[in-house]
Amino acid sequence: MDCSLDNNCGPAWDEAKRSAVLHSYDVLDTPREQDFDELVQLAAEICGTPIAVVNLIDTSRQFFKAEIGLGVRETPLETSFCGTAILAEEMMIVPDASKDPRFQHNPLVAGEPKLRFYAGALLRSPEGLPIGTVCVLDYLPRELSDHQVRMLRLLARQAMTQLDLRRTLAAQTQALEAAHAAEREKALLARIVEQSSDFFGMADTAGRIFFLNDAARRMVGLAEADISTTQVVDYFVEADRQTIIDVVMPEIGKNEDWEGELRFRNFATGTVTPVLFNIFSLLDAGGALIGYGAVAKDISLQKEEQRRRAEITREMSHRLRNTLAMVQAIVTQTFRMTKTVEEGREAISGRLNALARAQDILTSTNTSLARLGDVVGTALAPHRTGQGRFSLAGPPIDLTAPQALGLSLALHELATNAAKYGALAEPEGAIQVRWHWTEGRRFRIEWIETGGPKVSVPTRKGFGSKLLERIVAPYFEGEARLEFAPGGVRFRLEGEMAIPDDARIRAAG
Amino acid sequence: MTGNDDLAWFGILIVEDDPLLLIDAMDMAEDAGFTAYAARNADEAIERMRNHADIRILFTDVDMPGSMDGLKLAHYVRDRWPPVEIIVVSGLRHISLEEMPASSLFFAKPYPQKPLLDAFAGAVSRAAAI
Repeated sequence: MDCSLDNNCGPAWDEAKRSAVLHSYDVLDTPREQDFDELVQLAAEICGTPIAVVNLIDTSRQFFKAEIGLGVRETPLETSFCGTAILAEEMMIVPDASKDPRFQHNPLVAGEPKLRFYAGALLRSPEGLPIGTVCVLDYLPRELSDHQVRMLRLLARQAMTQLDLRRTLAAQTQALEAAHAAEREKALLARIVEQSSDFFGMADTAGRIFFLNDAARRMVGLAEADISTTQVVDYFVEADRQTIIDVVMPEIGKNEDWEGELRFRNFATGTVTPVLFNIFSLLDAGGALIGYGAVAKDISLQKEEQRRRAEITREMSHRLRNTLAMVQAIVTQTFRMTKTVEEGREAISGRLNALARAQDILTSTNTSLARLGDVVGTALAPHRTGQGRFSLAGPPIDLTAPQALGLSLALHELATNAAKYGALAEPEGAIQVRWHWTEGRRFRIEWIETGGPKVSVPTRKGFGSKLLERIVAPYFEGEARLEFAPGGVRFRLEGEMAIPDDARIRAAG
Repeated sequence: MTGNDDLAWFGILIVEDDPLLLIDAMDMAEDAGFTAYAARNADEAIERMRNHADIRILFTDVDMPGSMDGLKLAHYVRDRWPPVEIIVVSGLRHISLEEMPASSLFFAKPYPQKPLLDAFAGAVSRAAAI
């Protein structure tokens, strides 16, 4: 060796690399093993020393894979005989450490247990890096014969062989485990593909289908059928095939994937299934194109939801426009019959208010129907003072939306008139509103005022009269009669509950 | 009646299932001087068409109960009474031209009165030219 401890030249290896090689054996801190125990037994017997060790030297500590005569498995490197310096020589023999300047100050030499003799044979990995020694030690100075030295070297090679064997075995086990894991992963992937409720399919480079999972077969009605004669385009409705040819194919031809909404057709039933379709190039490990993979998700439910939402939006807009048309009619009708703008303004705001409150009842129910009692109560609410001047009574009767709106407007006119000229204009006045079934789906509503001032037939008829006499009855396919009796105004509406069909509910005003 | 009595020979059939809107449209037509006929569904409308030869304009809502909606009625009237002018109104925004009979007019609800009255007047002048 060119290097001694006196000149400061470092070891002939990269310590990090050496440590990495040592760690690759995965032997540090492993339990005792008989193979190595027998090895140190032999070393001690051959060399006649009380101590023998298979010593693995890491950067800052040493680990004894096997030892006799020491009783410990690890020591720090500072006090070590087998420090990295030792690793520099194939075979190192120190007959008397107390006389060797390299070791005489070592605490284990200078103090207890007063080690004197050391002989170590290097453990060199196949990469050529030293990772430890097989060494023997004694408390007395001694020499080794050539035979003992050869045996110690032999034992070191044996130890190295054992370590290599273990490392190879470990690597093989690891590779095997990795292969098993890959196998398991593959099986899982196959299961995911097979059992997914999404469509999985594969086509060759010519677009011929060679694989479909069960969900795919179900989706397109090819459960038991031979798929090898089918092409990608065959799976789509006629109207989408041009998109496949013009848009999708050129895109994946550029090795881009393509995703979009398309429609599958069922080969067996012709049923159409809207899908979110994703198609991409399938490449082998070398990157060569082997075909195309496709995943498709049935989006029927989403489509249905979209359609339903659009329908609701359309319906809302329709209702709004119809309501606005009613507002328009109320405004024009009011101005036809009023003398001044102020009069018209007040009448309009009252009528629109009645319309709005009736709308509130309708929007608060899920059925587009309104209870007659609710409509009456709501229409009269602004006139009810809590003095018990109204008595409302009748069975539950459902009204369609237009009926509820029409009746609300009529009741508003009656109440407004009563407040100005009728029962509500006098403290003693009272109003009865009664309704009941007459025959089958026919019913009658009556408005009876009492206790008001003496009634005379009005000279001028306004929109209110028109509404009560001509407009409200047709909502019920019935008849209305407004009577200016001397004892109080009476109004009677007879009609029929419409059987609410869809068209009528949609019309909703 | 505040309008031109000379137009009383010119009948307009108004088809609208909502009684308030029906009366309001009738008032508008009558105020302009026309004779207005009312129907609340397609069946009533066809009956009016059969009984009143003076009807020159069909003015119909689309959405209404009964065997036919306003669009079907419009096509029916166009087939049976080709010279009758057709005006369709609806709260539905999406009535495409293809759905309407040829040379008929569409107004969205709530419809503006002035353009509608202009449309009536246009029909009158075309009828007078025949």
